[in-house]
Amino acid sequence: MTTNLRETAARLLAEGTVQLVLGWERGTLPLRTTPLFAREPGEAGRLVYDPTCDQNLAGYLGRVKEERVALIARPCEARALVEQVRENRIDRDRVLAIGLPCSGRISRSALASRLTGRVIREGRLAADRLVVAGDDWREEFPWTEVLDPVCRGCRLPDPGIYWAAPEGAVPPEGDRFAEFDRRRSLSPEQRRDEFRQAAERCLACYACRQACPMCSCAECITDRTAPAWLGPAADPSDTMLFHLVRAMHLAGRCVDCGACARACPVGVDLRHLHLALEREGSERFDHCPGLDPASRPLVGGFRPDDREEFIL
Amino acid sequence: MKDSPALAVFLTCDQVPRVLAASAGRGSTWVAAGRGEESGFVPYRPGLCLAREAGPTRHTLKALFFPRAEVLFGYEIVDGVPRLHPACSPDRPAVVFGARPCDARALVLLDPVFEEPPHVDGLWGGRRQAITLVGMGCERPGPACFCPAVGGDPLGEEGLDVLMVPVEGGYVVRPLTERGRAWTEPLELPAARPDQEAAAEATAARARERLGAPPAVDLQAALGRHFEHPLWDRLHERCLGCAACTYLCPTCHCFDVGDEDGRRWRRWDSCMFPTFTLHASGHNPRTGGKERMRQRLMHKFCYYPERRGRPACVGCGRCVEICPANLDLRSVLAQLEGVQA
Repeated sequence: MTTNLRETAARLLAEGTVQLVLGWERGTLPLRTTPLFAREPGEAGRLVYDPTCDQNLAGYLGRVKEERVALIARPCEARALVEQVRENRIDRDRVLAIGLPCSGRISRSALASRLTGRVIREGRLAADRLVVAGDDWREEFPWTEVLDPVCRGCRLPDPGIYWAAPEGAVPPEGDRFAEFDRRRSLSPEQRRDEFRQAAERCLACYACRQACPMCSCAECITDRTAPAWLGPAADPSDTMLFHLVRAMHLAGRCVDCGACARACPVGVDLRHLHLALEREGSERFDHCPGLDPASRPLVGGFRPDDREEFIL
Repeated sequence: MKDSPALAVFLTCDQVPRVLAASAGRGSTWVAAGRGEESGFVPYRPGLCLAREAGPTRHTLKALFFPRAEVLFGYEIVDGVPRLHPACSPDRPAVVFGARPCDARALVLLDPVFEEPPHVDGLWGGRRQAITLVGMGCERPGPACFCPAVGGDPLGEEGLDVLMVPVEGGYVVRPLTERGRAWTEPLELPAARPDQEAAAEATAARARERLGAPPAVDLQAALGRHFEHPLWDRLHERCLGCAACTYLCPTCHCFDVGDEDGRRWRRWDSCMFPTFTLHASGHNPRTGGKERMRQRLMHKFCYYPERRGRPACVGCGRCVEICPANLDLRSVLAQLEGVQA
């Protein structure tokens, strides 16, 4: 698969079909990848694709200047691309989405827990096995044991935006709403406390926002200085406000790729805020983000048969 | 502060809880604890899971001396006359246990920034003066560690009052300062035997071998020459523009100041944010991600060395570890070093 990918990318660059291929290459630490911006056919030889590719590359589309770009796209990238096209942020004809079958990705934080904090010196994937080794230990297990919870029960319907559609994808079984449902079973006070604890850990570095392919505001509410919406005290209520505003801005747009949670340097995962809105959109308005570039926005759209019993 | 070396003593692994309890009994003792993304420095309590695996904790030591947000002073206007109220400083540690040599070195690098006259911060200095730093040498530096490349050492003593060197079954504990002796002596630990001292030397040798020798490159000069180099256009591409690397950097120290409810706060700020250089006029001299990332590297590896003679980086590798894009400072610098004129 990687060989095909490299050949395709090199050909697209050599023929001048695109001026840039956005993909992943090996990173500098075990089991890490880093984005590759390939502009020469020779650079395409560095492309890799496996479950350690954990960033959502669609977020870079709005930043690059090339006229035509090939995007190595799993369903997560493709769905984010659909949303960007729908919002007229990206010209559909500018991007060639090279679809790749995805069977999920490794969660670094799940892996760290599985290894109880031991430092990984070497790591590699051999078919469906993950082999990791440290100073005086070595372990081997199916990599799906540290599957990112975001990938469980992934929605794989073809977003219909691929230039080359993926084949042979095996969606991991499970329920990506599992953690969300756990929280739903808690009392409002318990949920508020959990949210507050997460906000207290949050450093407001905005890695979640920056890693998000859908956080598109040219100026975030946090960057406003007149008035400044967030106070100078780094109070948890300010942090909560930021995350809530972000969640509301992503209502009907979040494709639940989990990039926000994976980007967080201190392990804050507030995906459930987005899932709450996703479920609301799906149950009440039959809305599914990331599938149809011609669909109307959840928040901006209106249909005469929208449920409106909540309006008194 | 440093004077004639005191005798090293030996602390077994089993005795660590007793030593920590004794230290906590004498003064507020904070320890490096926890795992992975939640690890950091917290007040000691019995049963705490100490961080012993390779590398530094995720959260930095600087946060104890330069918290993420703190009140500088309070103010009110009474009968038209402004009155200032000093901030009440929250409890700060008297002892920090388990700081890595890079953590301690970062404090030394920041001391002149906060305390060199004529601009004396006071808050930083006050906390620094009150502290005994008990360091934990690195027996197994992690894959992101690069302290020798920036003048550090996995068993470095700079900034520490006590250095603990991990060996089989325990630690060779070396008091390095008067304050370090005052912490160590009441513990009444046995003197380290020659074989234990030799084991400590072996630990150091192994750790140094793993990290390798520093590159013989004048990075400061290279950066100074390449400010306008087109390579920067490519280097910054992967950077998402978040502040994870700066907030969790042990030497990044930029802050913003703001008022709220009669109190003046200072809070961490980051050169990676567009608002960091935004002028009141609306003009922003650093127009994009390239300029911001370049500033971060230039400050650490060119401007700070120009003033202080060494880089404002201790090679802890946190930024390497946490960058969501795995944009590795080490490879970025290597590329800049490799640029021909």
